[in-house]
Amino acid sequence: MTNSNVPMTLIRRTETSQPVKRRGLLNTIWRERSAYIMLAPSYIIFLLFSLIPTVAAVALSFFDADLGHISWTGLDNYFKLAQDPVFQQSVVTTIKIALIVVPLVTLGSLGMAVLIQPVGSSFQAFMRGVLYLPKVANAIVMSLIFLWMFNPQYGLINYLLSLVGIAPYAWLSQGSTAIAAVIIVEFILRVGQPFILFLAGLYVIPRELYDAASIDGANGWQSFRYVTLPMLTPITLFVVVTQTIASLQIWASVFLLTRGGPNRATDVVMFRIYETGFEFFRFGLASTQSVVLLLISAVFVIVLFRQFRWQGDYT
Amino acid sequence: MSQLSVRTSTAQAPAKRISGAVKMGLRIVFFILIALVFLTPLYWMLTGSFKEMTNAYVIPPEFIPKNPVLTNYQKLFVSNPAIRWIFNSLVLSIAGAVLCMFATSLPGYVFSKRKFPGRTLLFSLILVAMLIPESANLVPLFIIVKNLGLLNTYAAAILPWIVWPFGVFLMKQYIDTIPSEILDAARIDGASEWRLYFNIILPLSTPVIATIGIFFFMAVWNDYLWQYLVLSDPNMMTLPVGLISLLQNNRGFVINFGILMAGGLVSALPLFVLFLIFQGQFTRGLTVGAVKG
Repeated sequence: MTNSNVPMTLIRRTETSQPVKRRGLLNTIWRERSAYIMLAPSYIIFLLFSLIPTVAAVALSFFDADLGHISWTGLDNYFKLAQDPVFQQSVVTTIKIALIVVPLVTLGSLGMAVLIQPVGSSFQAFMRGVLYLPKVANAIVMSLIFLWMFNPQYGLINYLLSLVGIAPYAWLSQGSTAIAAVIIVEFILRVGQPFILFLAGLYVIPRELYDAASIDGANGWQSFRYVTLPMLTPITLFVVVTQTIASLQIWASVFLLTRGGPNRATDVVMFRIYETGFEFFRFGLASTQSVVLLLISAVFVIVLFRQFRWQGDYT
Repeated sequence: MSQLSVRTSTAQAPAKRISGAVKMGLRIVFFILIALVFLTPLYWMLTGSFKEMTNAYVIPPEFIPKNPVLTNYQKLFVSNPAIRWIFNSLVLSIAGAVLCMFATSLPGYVFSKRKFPGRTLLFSLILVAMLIPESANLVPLFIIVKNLGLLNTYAAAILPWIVWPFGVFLMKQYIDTIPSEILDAARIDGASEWRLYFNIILPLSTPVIATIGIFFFMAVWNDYLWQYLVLSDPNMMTLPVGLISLLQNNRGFVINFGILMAGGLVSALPLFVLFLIFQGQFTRGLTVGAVKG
C-alpha cells in the first residue's frame, strides 16, 4: 500500500545481515507512528469507555458492590440469581417477548416489502417514511403516547374497540394484555428499518432470475421460495440478529408503560438490571445480571449464525 | 392452432386486467390502513398537545380538539426549564455528531489505508465491541464516570459513545473503496498524513460521514437511559430526561398527558424535519451496511 516505503525496506533488509526481527518491528512502529497518533484519541476513548467497562462488568459480577463498599464474593452473585425466582421470571419473559417480536417484525416487514413491490415507487417511498417515522420519534415519545392510548377509560384504543363492539381491556393492568401492549409498541417502533432493508434487497434481485424460474415452470410461491428468499438471506440474517439483540434489551417501553408490569408480568432482564443497579445501587449484582444477558445474547447470535449459514448453502 | 391461441388470449386478457386492478386496489387499501395505524399515534400526540388536561380525559376522545389551547406549551416552557432542556439536547446532539464523525473516520481511515503492527488486533477489538449490547457496560461505565468526577457534564453524556464501533466499521468499508493511488500520489508530492486525511479522505467520504453524523445526532437527541443516569442536575437535563421527570412527578396521580404530548411533539418535531429533508440519506445509510451489491 505505501509503495513509496517499500524500496526503503528492501534496502534496509539487505544492508544488515543481523537478525532484523526486533529492530524491524520497532522501526516499523516508528515509521508508522503517524497512524498510531491518528488512532490514539479515538482508541483511548474506546479503551476507557468501551473495552474497560466490558471487562469491568465481568469482573464486577464477582463482587458485592454498592455506593459504600465493595467486597469479593466469587460466584455468590451467580448462585443468588440462579435461585432468584424474580430474576428467573424476567429471563423467561425477556426470551418470550423476543421469540414473539422478532418473527413478527421480520415476517411483517418482509411480507409488506414483497406486497408493496408492484405499487408505484413514490407510494413505496411514502410507506417507507411512514413506517420509519415512529423510530424517528423514538421509544420514549411513542411509549408516552401509547401510555395514554392504552388507558382503560380514556384511551383511544379502547374507544376504537368499543366502536366495533369489543369490550374495553384494562390493557396495562392485566398480565397478558400488558405483554401484548409492549409487543405492539415494539413492533411499531421496529418494523420500519427492516422494511427499508428488505425493500432495498428486493430491488437488487436481478430480473433474469425470475424469468429463468418462470421458464422452468415456477409459480408465484415457488419463485418466492427459491429465488427471493435465498437472495435475501444476508439481509434476513442481519435483520434477525439485530432485532434479536434489540429485543433482548427492551427497556424504554417497559419502563414507561408498565414499570415491570402488573405483578412483574412484563419484567424484563434489562429492567432488572436498571432497578438493581440504579435504584437499589447494587452494582455487583447488576453486573452479574448484565453478564447473564450478554451470555443469552451470545447464545442466540451463535445459534442464528449457524442456522443461517446452513440455509445459505442453497444460494 | 394460431386461431385458437388468439381466441384464448383475448378472452383471458380483460379478466386478468380486472383482477390485476382489483389486486392493486386491495394492496393500496391495505397499505393505507397500515399507514393509518402508524400515523394515528403521532396525530394523537399532535392533537393531544393542544388539549386542556380535562379534555384529554373526555369520553369519547376528541379527534379534533374542540377548544385547542396553548396552556400545555405554556406549562412546559414557563413552569419548567424546557428551553434549557432543548438547549442541552441541541448542544449534546450537535457536539456528539461532530465528535463522532471524527472519532469514526480517523480510525476508519487508519484501519483501511495504513499498515502497522497490531492493526488486526485493534480492529478486531472494535468489531467485537460492535456485538456487545450497551447494557453490559452501563454499570461499570457509570462507576468510571463517577470516579472521574464527570457526573453532570456534557462530556460524560456523549464521550463514551462517540467511538461508535459500527461507524468505524462503516468508515473502514467505505474508505477501502477509495483508490490508494490517490494517497500515494499525494505522498510523493510531499503531503503529510494529516493532509491526506483532511484534504483527500474527508472530502471523498462525505456521504458516509454525513450519514453517520445524522444517525448519531438522532441517537443522542433520543437517548434517555444514559443521560438520565449521568445528568441529574435539572439544569443539565436533556429533553427526554426532562419529559420523563414530568411523568414521574405525576405518577400515581392523574397524569397530565397534555403536557407530555406537548413535550413529545417538541422532542420529535426537529427529528421529523431532519428525517423528511434527508430521507434519501437515511435510506442509503440504513442499507449501506446490510445490502450486498
